[in-house]
Amino acid sequence: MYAKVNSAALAGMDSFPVQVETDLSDGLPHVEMVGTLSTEAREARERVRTALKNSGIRIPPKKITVSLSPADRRKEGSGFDLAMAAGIAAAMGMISDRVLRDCMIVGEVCLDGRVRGVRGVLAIAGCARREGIRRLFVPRENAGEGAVFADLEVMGVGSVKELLSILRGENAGVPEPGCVWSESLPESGEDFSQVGGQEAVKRAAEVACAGMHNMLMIGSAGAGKSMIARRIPTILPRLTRQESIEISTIYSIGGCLTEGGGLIRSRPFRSPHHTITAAGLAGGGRIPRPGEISFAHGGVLFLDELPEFRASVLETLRQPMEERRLTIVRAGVAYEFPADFMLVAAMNPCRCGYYPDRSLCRCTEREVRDYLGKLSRPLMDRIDICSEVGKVSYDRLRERGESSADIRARVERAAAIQSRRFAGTSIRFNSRIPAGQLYRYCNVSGEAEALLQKVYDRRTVTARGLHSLIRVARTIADLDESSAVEKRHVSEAVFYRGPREIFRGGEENV
Amino acid sequence: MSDADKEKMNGVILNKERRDQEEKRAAWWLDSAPGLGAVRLLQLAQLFGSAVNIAAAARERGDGLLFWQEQIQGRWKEDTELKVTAANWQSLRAHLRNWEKAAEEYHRWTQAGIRFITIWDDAYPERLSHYRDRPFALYVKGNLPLEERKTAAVIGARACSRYGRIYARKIARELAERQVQIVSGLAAGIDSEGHVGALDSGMPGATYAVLGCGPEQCYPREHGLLADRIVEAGGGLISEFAPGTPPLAHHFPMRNRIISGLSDCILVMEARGRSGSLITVGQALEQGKEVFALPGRANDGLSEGCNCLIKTGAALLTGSREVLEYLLPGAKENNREKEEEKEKSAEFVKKPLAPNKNLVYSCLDCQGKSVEQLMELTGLPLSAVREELLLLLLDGEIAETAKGCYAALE
Repeated sequence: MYAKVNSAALAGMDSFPVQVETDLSDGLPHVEMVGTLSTEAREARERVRTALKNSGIRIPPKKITVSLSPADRRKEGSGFDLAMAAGIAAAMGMISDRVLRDCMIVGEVCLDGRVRGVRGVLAIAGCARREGIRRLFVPRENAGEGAVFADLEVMGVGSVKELLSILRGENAGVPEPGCVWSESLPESGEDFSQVGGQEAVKRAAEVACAGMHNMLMIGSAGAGKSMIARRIPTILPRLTRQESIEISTIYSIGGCLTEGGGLIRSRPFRSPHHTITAAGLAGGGRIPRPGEISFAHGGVLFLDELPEFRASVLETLRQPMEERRLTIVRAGVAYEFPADFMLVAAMNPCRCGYYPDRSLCRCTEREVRDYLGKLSRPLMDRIDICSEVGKVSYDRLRERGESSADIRARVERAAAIQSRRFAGTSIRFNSRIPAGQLYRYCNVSGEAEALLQKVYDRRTVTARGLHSLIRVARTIADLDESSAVEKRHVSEAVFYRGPREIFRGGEENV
Repeated sequence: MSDADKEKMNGVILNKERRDQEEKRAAWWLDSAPGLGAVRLLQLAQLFGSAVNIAAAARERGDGLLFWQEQIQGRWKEDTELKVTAANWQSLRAHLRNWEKAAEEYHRWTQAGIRFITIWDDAYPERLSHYRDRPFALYVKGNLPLEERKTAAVIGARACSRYGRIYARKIARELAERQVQIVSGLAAGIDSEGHVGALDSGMPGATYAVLGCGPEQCYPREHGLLADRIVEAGGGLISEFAPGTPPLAHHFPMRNRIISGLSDCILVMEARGRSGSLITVGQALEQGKEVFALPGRANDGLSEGCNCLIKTGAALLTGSREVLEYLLPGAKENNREKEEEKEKSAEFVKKPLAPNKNLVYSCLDCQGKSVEQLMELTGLPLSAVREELLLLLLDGEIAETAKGCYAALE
């Protein structure tokens, strides 16, 4: 007897369909598994046989052959257990072929017949939809994760017995209610109104969010850098459903979606510690898994104490920051992870953190320079906005600032202007305008141009620095809802230059 | 004069030159001897009268204590304590094996433009000649300060504030313009500002640096260009350490006594409560030099040392005038300067700043303020403060000393 069950496997960020074929034939009682399987997939043999026995199904003493196709792709994970159990039951004639045709089944089984959760159910749901599957059976704990698409019925099952009873029609089963999409943000408890004073940084954060510019904050310890960084996701444009699915898929594959939470509604905020490795940050491993930069996709990657990160780790950011995705090749297979994040970094102005307050800082000028010098030029070139975070007086600290919702409204307006401007191109934000097309998109007024020239002639910015200055000015003009980049926009943008491009006023020693 | 006489004269001159060379080579060898500091070298020099004599005595027959006692018998008449021991003499004898190496080094470095000046040379600074611990020899790249010109040392903290920086540079420049030579240590912070200020005057031989390493190298490295400028401007790099000596920590307090010794007065710009600058001041006071200190705010850690000096009797330093009055008493006030000052203030009145700009500018001092602080002080919104700051920055009237920290230039 022969049976075929649909299942799916994960490969990087993608999921591909896998057919689990089962055949019962005469011969020595034995279960044979083929199809380029990893160890944990091959071990399904023991789990499934015992689980079926403990679910009250007597497996006939026959030779059982299980083949997972396509046979040339390596399959990892324990998600085929449930499909295999259904396959054996079908081959025994317990389930009709017809029922199985438009079903897909994933899940790991325990020896007692219960079903355990697996990673990547959302990606698998996407795959099922592409394959024209109508019903997706997943472990109960993952049901909420998969029930995202309206045209896909997701059934959460708790045990092998339950699955078989639904498939045999003894039990109708209750499909998981699909999640209702709403744009309202979940309460996070974090809001910009909680930040007193710090007008300069808050404005810098607003500009950075409006154009998705990467941002660096410089300030002494305890000044409020982390507090501000944590609130940046609250002023980024709200997620669209499409973006939310993209982000949730990454978290689903990483196995870190909250149980039953469904789609992620707020933009991610990832803040890895500075001891992180290159593989941890960018993603990797023998079987590539998404790293912090992918978990920050669509949101904020916050690197606190930037100079303390190992240089080699920071350098891995360069390619993803340029291409907005990361490609990892393992054993001839290229895995692609999305990594379109906004980098927010924070650092002290010097090792002790008090420079230029000389009553506290005893670092020499050279030590200060060396500390800044730890940041590589290529990385700094990719950070358009740099702002200082200073000490705030008590009165200001007690003030309540503008709320995140108000700031976000302005940011969203600026984002809308940008999406109109870049309609039909691959560019989405001002920060991504290539240097060659800068003047095409940025309509710089005569007065603003004169100011740009003056700033450039003071030799405080490089040519590349000038380009990022124009991009930032474009974003500021968008926030101002001005079609041309005016002088006042440029003059604000000048204040966001990096710590190495300041107006020293001829104070260099020699 | 007959031809024969002339030839004889030439011969004498040639002979003298050869002897001088011989002497210098021996002195180079002597200066590189291990275990002999400035005081012991000077005592040896007093005992034997010349480096050649010392070398010859060391080379002679005999060893051990007896020989050494024989050597010094009758030569050491003074009632001061003799510091050179028999063990020193032994190690000096052992050092003879480096004779050839020292001679080779002497030729190589003198050809490379390093001058080697011992206490027996006429060029040896008169100002140093009274001190018991004066260096036996100086290695000089460029020139030594002129005896007939007045000299002031500018010293202070390496991690200094802009306040100290600005005053060090300004006072050094004004003194150099009035022919005062500026001596300092080429270190970061106040030292380098003193040198730069003196160079800004454009006067030849305006400034001299005393180093804690060999004169051919530069420490800290980023002041290489500054060191070159000092030499090019007719000044010099002076060291008691032979070329090739690395900048070791204990060299720096040693070079401080030369800085103060070469100067007629010491100007302390910024010094913490217990700092190296105060050690220099202590040495200067021992040498009988006048000390000037730039006052600071009472609660400023960087001015603690200076304020303490003033309390204990140092002269108050508020500008170059006090120093000039001390160094060049009776010198007439320069009329031209006075006029210039007048013109400057007239110009300032003629070109008043715009109201906002004035407001922002008036809130700035040389310590630096953040945008946030300026908003609070002026009551202006962020954009207005920034607009004014940018204009001031582009006009070069203020500087950004660190990211987001703005300070008036003077």
